[in-house]
Amino acid sequence: MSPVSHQARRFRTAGLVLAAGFARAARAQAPAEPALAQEVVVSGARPARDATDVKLAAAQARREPGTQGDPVKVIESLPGVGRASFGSGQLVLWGAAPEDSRVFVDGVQIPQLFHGSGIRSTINGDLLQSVSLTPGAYGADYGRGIGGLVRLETRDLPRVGSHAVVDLNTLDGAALVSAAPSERVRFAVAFRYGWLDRVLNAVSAPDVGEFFAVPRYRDYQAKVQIALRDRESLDLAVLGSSDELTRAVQHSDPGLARSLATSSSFERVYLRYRRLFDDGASVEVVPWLGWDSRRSDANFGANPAELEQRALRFGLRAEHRSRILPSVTVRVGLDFDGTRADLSRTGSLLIPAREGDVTVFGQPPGDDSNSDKWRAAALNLAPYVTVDWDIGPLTLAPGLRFDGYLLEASRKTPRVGQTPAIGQSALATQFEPRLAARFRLSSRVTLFGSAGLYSQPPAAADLSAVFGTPTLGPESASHLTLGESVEITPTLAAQVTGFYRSLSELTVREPTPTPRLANSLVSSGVGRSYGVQILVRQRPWHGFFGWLAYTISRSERRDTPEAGERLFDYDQPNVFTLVASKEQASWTFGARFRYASGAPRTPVIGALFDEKHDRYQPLVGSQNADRLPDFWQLDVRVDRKFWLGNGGQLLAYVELLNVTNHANAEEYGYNSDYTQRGVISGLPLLGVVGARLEL
Amino acid sequence: MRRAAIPLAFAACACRPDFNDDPALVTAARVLAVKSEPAEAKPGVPLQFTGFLAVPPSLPSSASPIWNFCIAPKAPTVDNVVSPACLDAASLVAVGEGSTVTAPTPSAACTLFGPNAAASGLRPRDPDVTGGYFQPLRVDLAGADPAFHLQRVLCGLADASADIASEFGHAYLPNENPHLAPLIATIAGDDADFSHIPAGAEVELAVSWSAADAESYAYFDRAAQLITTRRESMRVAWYASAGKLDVQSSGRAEGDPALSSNNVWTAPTNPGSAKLWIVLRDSRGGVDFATHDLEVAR
Repeated sequence: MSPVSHQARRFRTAGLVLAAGFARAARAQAPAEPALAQEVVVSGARPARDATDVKLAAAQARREPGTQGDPVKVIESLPGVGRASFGSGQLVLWGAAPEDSRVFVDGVQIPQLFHGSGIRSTINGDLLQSVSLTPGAYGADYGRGIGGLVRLETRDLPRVGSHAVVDLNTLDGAALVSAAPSERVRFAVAFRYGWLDRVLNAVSAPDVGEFFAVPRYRDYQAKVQIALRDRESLDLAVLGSSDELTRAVQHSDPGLARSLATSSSFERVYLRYRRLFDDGASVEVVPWLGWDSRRSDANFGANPAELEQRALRFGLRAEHRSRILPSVTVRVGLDFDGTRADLSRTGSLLIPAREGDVTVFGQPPGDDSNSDKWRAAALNLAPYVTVDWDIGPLTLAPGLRFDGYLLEASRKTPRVGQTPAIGQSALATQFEPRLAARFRLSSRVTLFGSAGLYSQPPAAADLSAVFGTPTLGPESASHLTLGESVEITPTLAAQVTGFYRSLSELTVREPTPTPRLANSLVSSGVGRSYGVQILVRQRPWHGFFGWLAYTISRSERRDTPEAGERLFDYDQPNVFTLVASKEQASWTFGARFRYASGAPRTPVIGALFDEKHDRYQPLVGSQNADRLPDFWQLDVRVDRKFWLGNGGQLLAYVELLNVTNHANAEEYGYNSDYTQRGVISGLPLLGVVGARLEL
Repeated sequence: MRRAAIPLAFAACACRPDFNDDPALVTAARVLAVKSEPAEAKPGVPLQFTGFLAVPPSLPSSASPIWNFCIAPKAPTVDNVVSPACLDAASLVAVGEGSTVTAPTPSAACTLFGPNAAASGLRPRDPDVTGGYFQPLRVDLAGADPAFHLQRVLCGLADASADIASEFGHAYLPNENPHLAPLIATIAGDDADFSHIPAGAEVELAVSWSAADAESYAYFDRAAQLITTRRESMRVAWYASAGKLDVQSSGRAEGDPALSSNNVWTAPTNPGSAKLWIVLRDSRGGVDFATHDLEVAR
């Protein structure tokens, strides 16, 4: 049996569209397609590991309504994904905080999936093969996160000729050029530049930008693929992204003038060595290096709030996969990740806000102020092993991951004069067993489940002796899922998944009036989220495809043992998405409907007059006891292909977001003395017109 | 608002709620400001507190505020100027009743609200952006929301070496209250007669203060671990019982050397009595205020 057919058999029958795990090997069996959108997809069941994984081919995903041509944005329409508030771009997976989920490109972690405001992903979709979402309970090969996973896989470049894709639309412009100068070498470069901020300034009300900031964004990618021996390749890839935003509200009162300047960027360089052996075994090694940068410089009146973070990132991911028995495949790997971050911060302890902070929109921040500069380092070495064991209709995938953390902070106590710093260093270890199982009840019905333990190191920003706690340890979680998938027809499948996630040792603010020195954060938070998600998916059938996703869930937190349970800031009990598209000749018509419960908010029950600052301050009721109104939105998309000859094509598209012009409440706003409340609504209608040229 | 100029590009409208409220309009008795004499002193030093009460002409002016110190420190996690416990009687220490009261600030103010940790190993409080620490003083006026005055107390430095602390102790001069110069009011360039303001007239107002009022003061820069010199910013709060003020507040930033601030009051279209209240604040908590009675004629 060839490796390709072997792989295809492993992904056999029912389930979702799945990109082949080793695309290069699979491509050898695929018919030659010169277009850049070339890809190989295999219809079949998911492997037992990562039972909750939903994977989509990038070429299909980019044509879904609501994506504006960006395949990564399809994630917003998948089950288990909370609706992010407009302009936030946050990823809330099964009730996990956005910073608890991880994003990987070819196994290399990147700090942000979307550019600021969530308008675009930070990776050019034309370079992607697939987009994969695992809201939780993933396998032992990934870690350092107690939330979910998003994995992006770059595609293999065309073997012959030169190709180009240019996409120009209301939001931005992007281009990708690829060429194969020899039989062994192929390369591609891509670039995107956002201009939505200028479009918005030109055609909308000036105050829109006051509520919904649109950063100026750009990203670039380059990839070189070198074919070594037969079924052996070496890729070199470079990824980069940056966002910049500047806002200022002038006022004749210096106490009311505001300004905000933020910037963030990341760069990644990685090698990806892959080899497939004749016996079906494979090796993949990915060493990588990167830099993250983030800066926020805000002024609320005379109160500064500055945060600067620069981090050197590096890592190595290596995995050997082998079939030791006809029914047993073993993967042994090493996942190494290192961070060295230099940080400086000035301003109030409460800026930036954390999950669990009681905040009222529009309330000026406190004017308490402090300052700190520190360095934090984290090394994580994680060997792991997983086994895929087929026992008739049962497939078991046990795994074990050992996470060893070395956590360092440059100062154990706040700086006093020129006193030399005494640093903090700690070792922490976590054994993380994980198990996934799949049982085929019949040719159409499969039961599956998975469970595991997870951990993540503290954020470098939390290790300040002034604003945080240098001795913080890892946060941990346990995940459990149980589900059933049913293949109703050869192209129509349904899946029901129940999930439970328990969180412990969460980093929260020390709530006492007099916290200990260098102890502003404590690891006393616990939480849980649980629910059921349903996915009914129609794969292409007579030109029609789409899915229905519904998630009902609840997510709670308890910050200290003495505190009561409260709703998680991002809790959304109901999230419903219906996506449908129909291809008719060269036309495609699509629509997406979304409904989501409003996010929790803390009610304002009164006010006091702050004489020093000449303003009212809100008095709040029970934390997160109120909610924003429910959200719903209908988006439509129409595109048409024009064939240009020589394999080229032009795709013209129009996408209307919130076509009914429904005013969705994104936030509560208050008058000056907090006696009146109104809603701040999102942008009522966004139209995106674009054209995509493939040559 | 500009409308969408490019078809299918954007249709966007203002997203904020319109409350139609005017924060400069005083329609019920309330406390606008509190002045202490002296403006800054060590804990335990007797201070005279004077409330600046705004009572519209149409209401009786018999309101008498009740004063209490709050001794509950605010947790660093509380995004407010005082602890929620300051709303409970258990955390209050009675000061007195009346428009003016005299009392020493609690002797533990620098421990409760300042840099002196109650025990070793505890985190000192963070100062405000001017380096100040403040004792809350609650002022209750019948029918109004509770008001809190934050009384600046003279404490030492936290997180500073002995040398820096000593240098700061010598260089720092306690805050003093600023002084409002006489209000200048004009209508179309001519001096306005407050006893005869034409209905609907636009009255240009200008308040000023002296250069000495925007004091320079020693400031401990924690990031650099140095003593630097800063200058107070000045804010002016404007209130009226009728008519319309262009802005509710104005002022000068720390780096702005100007010594005046302007506003425009549009008289109501109906004749009658009106009041104008002006509060001048420096950024370290010093206050001065003034009331002006106006008669709007036909």
